[in-house]
Amino acid sequence: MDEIISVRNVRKEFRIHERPEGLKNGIGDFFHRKYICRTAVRNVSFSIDRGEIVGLLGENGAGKTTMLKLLTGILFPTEGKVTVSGFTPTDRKKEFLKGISFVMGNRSEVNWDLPAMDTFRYQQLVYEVPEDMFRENLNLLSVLLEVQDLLKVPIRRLSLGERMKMELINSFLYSPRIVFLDEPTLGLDLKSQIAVRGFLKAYRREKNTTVIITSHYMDDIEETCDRVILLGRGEKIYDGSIGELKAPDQPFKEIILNLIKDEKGQ
Amino acid sequence: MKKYLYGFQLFFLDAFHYRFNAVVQLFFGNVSTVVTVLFWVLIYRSNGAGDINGFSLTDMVAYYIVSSIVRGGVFSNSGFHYAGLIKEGKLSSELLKPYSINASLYFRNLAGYITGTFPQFVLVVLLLPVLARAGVSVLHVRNLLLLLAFMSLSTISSHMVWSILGLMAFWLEEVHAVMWSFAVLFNMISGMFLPLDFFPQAFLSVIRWLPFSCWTYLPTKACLGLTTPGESALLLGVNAAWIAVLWGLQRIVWGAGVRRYASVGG
Ligand SMILES: Nc1ncnc2c1ncn2[C@@H]1O[C@H](COP(=O)(O)OP(=O)(O)O)[C@@H](O)[C@H]1O
Ligand SMILES: [Mg+2]
Repeated sequence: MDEIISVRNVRKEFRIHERPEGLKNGIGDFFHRKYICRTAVRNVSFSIDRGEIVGLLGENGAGKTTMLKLLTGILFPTEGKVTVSGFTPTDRKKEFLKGISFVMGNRSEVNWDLPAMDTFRYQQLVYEVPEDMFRENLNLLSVLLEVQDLLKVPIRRLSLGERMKMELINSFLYSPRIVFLDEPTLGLDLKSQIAVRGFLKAYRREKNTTVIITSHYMDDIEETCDRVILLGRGEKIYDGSIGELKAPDQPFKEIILNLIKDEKGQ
Repeated sequence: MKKYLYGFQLFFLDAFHYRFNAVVQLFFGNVSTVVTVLFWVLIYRSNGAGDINGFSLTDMVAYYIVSSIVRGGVFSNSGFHYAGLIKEGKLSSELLKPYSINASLYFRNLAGYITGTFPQFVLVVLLLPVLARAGVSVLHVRNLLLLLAFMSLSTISSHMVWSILGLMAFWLEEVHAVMWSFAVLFNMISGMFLPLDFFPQAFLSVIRWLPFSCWTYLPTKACLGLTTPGESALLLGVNAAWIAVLWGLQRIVWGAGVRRYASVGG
């Protein structure tokens, strides 16, 4: 197998300034700061092969987003080693950055004042996409997502679902080899959720891209992924193929919830 | 290079999209310069005839008119921009882009400067004949070249100094108050409020060697033909050396700070 992502004993701590309530304590705090360490990811190791679609699952605060930020080089690990397509992500090598894409469901990448097309053209320049590849990708993506006639409308005027589709186009335009998606269906109505899922499956079939996706809609994961990594309070509690997890007599959602519950019980 | 220039173009598109805003700016962009000039007319009137610190009223008016163009080339915005990106966690998406964050910010500011200074530029062009008749040699090719040379250095060195201040947000989170205080100090020692000739000789002999004098005082004086060629060449060299020092310093601060980046939100 062809390993593309390797995570070895990674820990990420955040040091946060604990802010007390009230004025009196606030004044005290001015002179004596209290800091607490919060460990968002503890001692996690895994490896992902080229072409896999992996779902990162876990409750709120389990460390999913932090994990993706470590994999994309936004955060430095406190301890351990992350390697993605042979690079250390935090080195921010151009070649590395051109090969990855990080879609954040709750954060917009596109310029809201401009029509999507202008943003895409900018993206083309930033990622140095040749014109024919740009046209081909834009065509493929806008057909898959059914937005051909929305490309000239300012993003501001689009619905949430349509905007997410534009974010997806923007993130896939340069044919990234690895795509990280953090809650891509967050807040979308059912129809748009289905469209995004359908797109991910179709796109993957077309391009054999490696995809890491987090979501707390189990349907997203169940439908699109081959493999699941379950995080609980920063630790890896399950890692295996989705087939092994599925059972004929129990919904997927329940199986996952039971896994989390078992972990907490111990 | 092309991608930075496209960012440039997007900025213009944005400016044209909000036409009304652009028109209002055109009218009000010169208000503060006009008010300052009026103050000086009053001061010279009450002083009777004659020079103040070697500046005739014409020199003084010319100084403020020319410096109204020059001072826009001080990219304090770089500091505020970095601080905002860090505090709000928006640096995350910048970290993912396969370009130099620093260069893209510089060129954005340059675009902002060129569009934003249009009103002041119009004022200078309108007043040139008047100034020329009063004996001010703004239209000397040599002076204009010196102006351009000093200003190129000042856009870079101010971008560096300010981004170092803004990067303090990696440690302090909230740096606006600190930056505003520095802004006042920098404006003073760059000659933005008052030509540096008004300061005591001993003070002037020190601050003229600092990078700040290049932010307003030196380009303006050179443009008005009030410096000797030898002096100008020496000071251009000194400021180029400052840029090298500041560049190194900025790399160090960035390298240390980005490890601490918390990427809040998302
Ligand atoms: N920038 C940060 N500063 C401090 N704590 C953080 C920061 N980001 C995340 N955390 C904490 O780390 C834990 C994991 O967060 P996150 O990775 O966002 O979880 P998830 O995406 O699984 O909901 C949470 O307890 C969260 O409060
Ligand atoms: Mg999250």
